[in-house]
Amino acid sequence: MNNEAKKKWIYEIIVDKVPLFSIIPKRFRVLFQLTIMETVGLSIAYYEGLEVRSIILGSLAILAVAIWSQIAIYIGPAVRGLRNPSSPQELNIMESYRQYLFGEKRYELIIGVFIFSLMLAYFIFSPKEPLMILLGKTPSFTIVFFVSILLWDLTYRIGLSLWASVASLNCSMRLFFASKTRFKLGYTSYKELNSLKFLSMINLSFLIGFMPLIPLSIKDSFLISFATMYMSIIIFSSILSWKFLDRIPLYPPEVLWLFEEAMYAYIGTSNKNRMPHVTPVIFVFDGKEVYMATSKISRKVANLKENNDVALLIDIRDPVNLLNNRAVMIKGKAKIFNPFDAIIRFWILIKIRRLFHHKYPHYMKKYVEERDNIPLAWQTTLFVSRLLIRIRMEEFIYWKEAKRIHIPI
Amino acid sequence: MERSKTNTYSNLNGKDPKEAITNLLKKSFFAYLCTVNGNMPHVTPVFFVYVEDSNSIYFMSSLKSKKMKNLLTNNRVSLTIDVRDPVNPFKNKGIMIEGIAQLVAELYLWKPSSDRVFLKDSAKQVLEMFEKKYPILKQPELNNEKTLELIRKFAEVLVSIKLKKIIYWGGGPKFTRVKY
Repeated sequence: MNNEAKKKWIYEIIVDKVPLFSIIPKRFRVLFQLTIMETVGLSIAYYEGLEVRSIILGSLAILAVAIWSQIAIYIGPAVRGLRNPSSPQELNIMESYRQYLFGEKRYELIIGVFIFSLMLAYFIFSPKEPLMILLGKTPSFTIVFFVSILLWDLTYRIGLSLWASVASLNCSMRLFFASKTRFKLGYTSYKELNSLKFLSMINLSFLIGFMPLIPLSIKDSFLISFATMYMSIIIFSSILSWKFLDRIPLYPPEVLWLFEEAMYAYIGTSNKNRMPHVTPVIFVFDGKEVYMATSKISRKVANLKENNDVALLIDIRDPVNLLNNRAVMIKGKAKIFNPFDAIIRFWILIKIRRLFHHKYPHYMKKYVEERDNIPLAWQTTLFVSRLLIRIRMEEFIYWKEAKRIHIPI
Repeated sequence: MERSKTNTYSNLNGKDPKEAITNLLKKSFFAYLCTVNGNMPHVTPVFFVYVEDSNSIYFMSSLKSKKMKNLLTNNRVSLTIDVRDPVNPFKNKGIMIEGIAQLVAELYLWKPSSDRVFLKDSAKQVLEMFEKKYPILKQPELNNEKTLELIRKFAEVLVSIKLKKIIYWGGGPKFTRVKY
């Protein structure tokens, strides 16, 4: 990892450097900050004789700062901890994402300063209720100073959360488009994609930070429209970012090719007595997960009901040169669709049916032709004879020419 | 074995599945081996030979492979050997085997056969069977560097699998169970 990627948010740097903070364990730092701010706030309120209303609203604002701080403290290390994609193009995108967040340009600071100035100008030129409540009837210098600091704390974190969400959307979008031009074994590991997805959802939690501020802004139309805008940007960019990430293939192109080309797979299961069982199956792949329709009375279904850990080997063999083959084994969890799943996710059934007919036209034809001659257990009627099984990958191994190829997962 | 004969052979319209099974065991080039690590199954293709006298299958592996690690903690295995018909699913045939694995010998196949003095006769015979079935393994010194490297890797140990149970399917969606 280079130096740029190690950089932190200003807030994190301050927290790491300030003596009192740096000796406190990381998870208590925000709590400590909350306590200090609240104590200072309360003492000022006491000496200046502020109303209870002011104290409550001020405390809520301090709580908002604390919530945002906690989220920021979580996201920073999580983004820095992401491993690098093996595709050079996607690596560039990831680097520039880190650069956007922690680089020297400090974009989040610019946004924070902008929002701070906007709010300051608004409050100075049009002094309205929320601010007046906080300041009290006869604001002293101490109160104004403390409220300004509080306002800066809030606006800096608003800027930071906006920037974090937009930068994450930008990264996801670019990763999605870059994934279309992947080459050979280049890809972004699905574990990192999952972390990025999770981070997109964490960005949504910035909204929680806004909750305590609602009573402060409820009576002011400017603040309400600002809040609406803030929330829409966060919601929109987080969800869109998740959607983009969700469409990125989980395997590098060379491995994906196997899923598309191979006709048969071997599914390994084991029962609770740890007795292994392997059988050939036909399968379809929807771009992310493997599906198969297997007989209700088969051993694999019985095994999967006891233990849903599963290994699936998909390979292509060269009949002439035995050493020239390719195989991928995915390990993961199997899910057996029950009729209820089928009803709430009927489009999956339609999609899988279409995939099966497309991939195995001859087989499907034969199953229809022989319908009256085959026992019920081997007919293709879902739920009567067969169960739909989905395998969600957790880990995969790839072999080429009888040699294991190491792909970071 | 006698018992299973009576109730299963009738499924095949009087035809003896033994012959079909032996045929599959002798002529197929790949077997799919399933081992278990804790609860997690693991499937890999292997080269194998079938020794009729001891009713065992032999395969070779690298000592460090995941399947060897799994076998050290749980020596029960399952194997599938099958032949596919791309048009008619009812013409697919194959066997699913359950068995017990055992380490037979450490071997170094790339070494010339004169160096095999330390091996038991039975192991030597198995090796010869391997070389006959997979000519690419024979006289590795004739192979190119890349192939040699590969053989070195996957031929470190010889493992036997004692067949305990075989399930056969073929000629329609019927299963025949044969116990040994």
